[in-house]
Amino acid sequence: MSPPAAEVPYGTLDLMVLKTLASMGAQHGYGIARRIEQVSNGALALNQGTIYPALLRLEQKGWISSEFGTSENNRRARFYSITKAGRKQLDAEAALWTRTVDMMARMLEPEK
Amino acid sequence: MTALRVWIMRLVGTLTGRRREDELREELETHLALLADEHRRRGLSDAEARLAARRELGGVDQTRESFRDARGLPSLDAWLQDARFAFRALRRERATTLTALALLTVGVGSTVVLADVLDRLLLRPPAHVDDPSRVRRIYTGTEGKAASRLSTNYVTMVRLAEGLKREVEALATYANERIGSGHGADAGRFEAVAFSENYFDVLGVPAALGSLPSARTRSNPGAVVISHALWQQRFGGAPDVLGRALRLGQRAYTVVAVLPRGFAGIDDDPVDVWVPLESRRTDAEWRTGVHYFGLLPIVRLRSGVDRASAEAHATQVYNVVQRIDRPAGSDKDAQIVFGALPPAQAPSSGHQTRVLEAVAAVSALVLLMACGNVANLLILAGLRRTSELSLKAALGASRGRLLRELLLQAAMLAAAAGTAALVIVLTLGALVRRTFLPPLAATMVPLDGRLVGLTIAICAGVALILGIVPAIRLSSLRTLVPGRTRLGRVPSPLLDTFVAFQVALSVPLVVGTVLFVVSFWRISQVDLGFEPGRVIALRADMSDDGRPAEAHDAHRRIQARLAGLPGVASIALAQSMPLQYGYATWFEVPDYQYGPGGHSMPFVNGVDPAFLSVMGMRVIAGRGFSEADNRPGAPKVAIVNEAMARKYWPAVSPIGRCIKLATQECDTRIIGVVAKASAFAHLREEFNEIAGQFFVPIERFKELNGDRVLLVRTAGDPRPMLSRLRSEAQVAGADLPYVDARLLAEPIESQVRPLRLGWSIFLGLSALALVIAIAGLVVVTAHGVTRRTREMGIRLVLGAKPGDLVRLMARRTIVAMVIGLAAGTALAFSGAGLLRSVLFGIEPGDPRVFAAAVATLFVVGALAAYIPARRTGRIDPSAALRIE
Repeated sequence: MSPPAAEVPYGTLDLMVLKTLASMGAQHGYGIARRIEQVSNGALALNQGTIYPALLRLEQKGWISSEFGTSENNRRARFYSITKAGRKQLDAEAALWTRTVDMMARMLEPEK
Repeated sequence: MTALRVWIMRLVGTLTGRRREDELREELETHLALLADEHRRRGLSDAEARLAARRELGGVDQTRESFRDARGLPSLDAWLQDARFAFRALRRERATTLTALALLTVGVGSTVVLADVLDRLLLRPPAHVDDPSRVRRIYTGTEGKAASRLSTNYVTMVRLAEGLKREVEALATYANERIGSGHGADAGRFEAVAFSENYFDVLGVPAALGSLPSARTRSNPGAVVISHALWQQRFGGAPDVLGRALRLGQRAYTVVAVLPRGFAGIDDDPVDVWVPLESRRTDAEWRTGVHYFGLLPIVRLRSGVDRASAEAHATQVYNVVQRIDRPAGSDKDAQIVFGALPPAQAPSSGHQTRVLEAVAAVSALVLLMACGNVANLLILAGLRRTSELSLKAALGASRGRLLRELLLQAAMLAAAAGTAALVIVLTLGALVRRTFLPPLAATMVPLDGRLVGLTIAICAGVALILGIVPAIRLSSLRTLVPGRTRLGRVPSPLLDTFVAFQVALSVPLVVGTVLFVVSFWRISQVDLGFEPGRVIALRADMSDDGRPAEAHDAHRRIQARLAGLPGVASIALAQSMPLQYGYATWFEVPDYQYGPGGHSMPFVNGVDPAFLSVMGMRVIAGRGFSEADNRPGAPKVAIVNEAMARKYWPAVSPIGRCIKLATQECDTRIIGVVAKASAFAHLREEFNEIAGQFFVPIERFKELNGDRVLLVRTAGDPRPMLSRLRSEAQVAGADLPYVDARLLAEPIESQVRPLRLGWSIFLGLSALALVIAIAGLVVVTAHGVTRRTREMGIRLVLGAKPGDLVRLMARRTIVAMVIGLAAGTALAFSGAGLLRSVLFGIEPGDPRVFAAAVATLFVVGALAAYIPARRTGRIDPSAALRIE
């Protein structure tokens, strides 16, 4: 069950997905993956397949919901969107993440 | 909250898995197509674009795999998968599975059936009784003697209730009666309870219809409460049954209530009607007189009352009451016991209880043997699957996972056997219940929750026992390294242990069977001085019909009707029913020195001359009655039994001596002595003083006792004739009340029943056990032969004689068997002592019994080992060497 993509820090993929959906609205899996890659500016080598188990987990938790629609190349695709609970979770996680980063930055500051 | 939601979603996912995975495939395809489009736009060729898309998406299979993990409950998925594997394995090994199933069904089935019997007889209180643990029967006994049911009178009951106010909420008495109704061909009979006011208050049974008589309401002597069954049969379940009339005996009653279905009284026979005691007592003094008996008390203890202290207080009160009422009575203090409601829990019904306990223990042994044997079969089946299991292990299946599959297999077997066992309880169990249980217990609900629960518990135990076997095998890792395993290297000692185990468990069964069979045979050989086995007693209760004076003529009319019917060998009229009632009257032997405590009077019975031959009594001195003796005005004569002769004329022959019978004149001469012929047939007790009785001609002593009974000796088995004789007798007169017909031997039968129960169930179970043990021995030996075929081939080539090899093969099983026999003998020896009080004419430790049992088992077991071993002698060395 652990994400095989070691390139993505553990536990951050869910947060990225939530953030993507929060800022871009309903998206299919491909769109989400593209967006994450764009935002990371090539710094993240995402194994795009890993997004699907993550989407399923988020849906099971009730943070995102999905429905079928038609993609830009006229194929049936599942479109995911963030739920109210998902937004709350995103806010909480983002705050936690910021705190963690600040703390780590202070820890790692070169001593004088 | 979220965790629960996820779990539920996953559970749904497990069940709808296929569809969701199809959707994922579609999603991934879309994803690939979109990626490929992107790459094409960047200028890649079609093929390159698709390749790049695949690379970027990563392994589709891994994605689907991790998706699947997240989709359902992985553990549940794995369980279902393992269950499928286990089921397939069972299906593949069909012969093993069926054998295992049969063995387990027999084991579980017999255990559950017997548990059911025990439960009904000993544990389960009558249905609908409120808080039954507080309802108690009263028993009384003196120091060192088993307590028997207290049978008392109304006034004693009232005084007891007053004295025990602190401990007892309500105290009631009742009498079981049979009340006839109608005459001639229309005559019928009801099983009745005559109850005191408190009866239903003590039991706390709710009414299905109407309201039950209670001490709190005004008593109505004409009220009758009917059973649910009678309501259905006689009133067709009519809802307006309340207020209808029902004629019982000489009295018309009004139905005031119907009891709920499933409650039919608290004793052995199902009751039809409940009537107030006062409606059945014609004597004006029955409420106040102290010389009455026959009322059975029951009490409801107050909640929280300690039974032992209540008993101690009741004992005090009872003895005080007794000393007031019966100053000349026994000077020994009686002990009061508050016994539980199920009749078989009576302190005195110890024999039956003991036998049932033994039977339950033994059926558990059979279950264990069946388990052992199935475990055995599963090991062998497992050996055949070794390579499969090794392969699975090599592919990464953990040992836990493999163990789980094997456990599931055992659980499936156990569940199937449990289901079959419940079916057996419902079908075959009914036969067992009818044969061994009193009618009331036999008709209780066929299957209740506790029995199902017990079955499930037994099956869980079985699955666990069977699961330990694969656990033992898997505990050595080497077994699972492919290529390392060789058929039979591992579990031979284990198989031998099973052989020993099964043989050991069969020893107590066979020993028990022999003990019971011998006891039963000895007890049926007891010489009572008469042979009641083929005698039917017929009696029309003329006193209950209000015409006691007509009893003599009525029975003579029945006699005339029955005489000469096919199957009737001889008939005699008597005053009291032998073995059931005794009648004693004023009697004196001149010059006899009576002891200080008065004396117990012998019973006297007026009989026809044919009585001695009907009963099968033997005249050992003097002569029997002649027709001339049996006439009004003839000289008075009597025949005494041995006990009486010994007591009153210890030094001389009683023949020609006179006795005073109901008169001051010594004018009745003794003309003969019959062997034994005790008044009561206590098979287990030596002759005693109270057993004295004598006989006089009925026509000469017509007035001695007004009661009458007809005794019919049949030419063959009396059972099939019982109802025919009854209906013939019934139509002998249009004015006859209901004629009761019963086997005279009933009271003897009830003493023999525990032994009959013991020997028949033990015999059945040990037959089962023998079959199971033989099957085990055959399978193990045959397996050994197969396993060592190659070795035997080499031995043959090197010059061994076939006969030696057969002995070699059989020896291993036989050694295991001998060890088992030794252990089993020790087990049986310690267990047999528990049966001491039940057995008759044989010591539980009798060495001959043990020798016979061990010898039988040895011969049977040696044969079971030898027959498959014989195959060794026929091994073709060249073929054997090519094996593997």
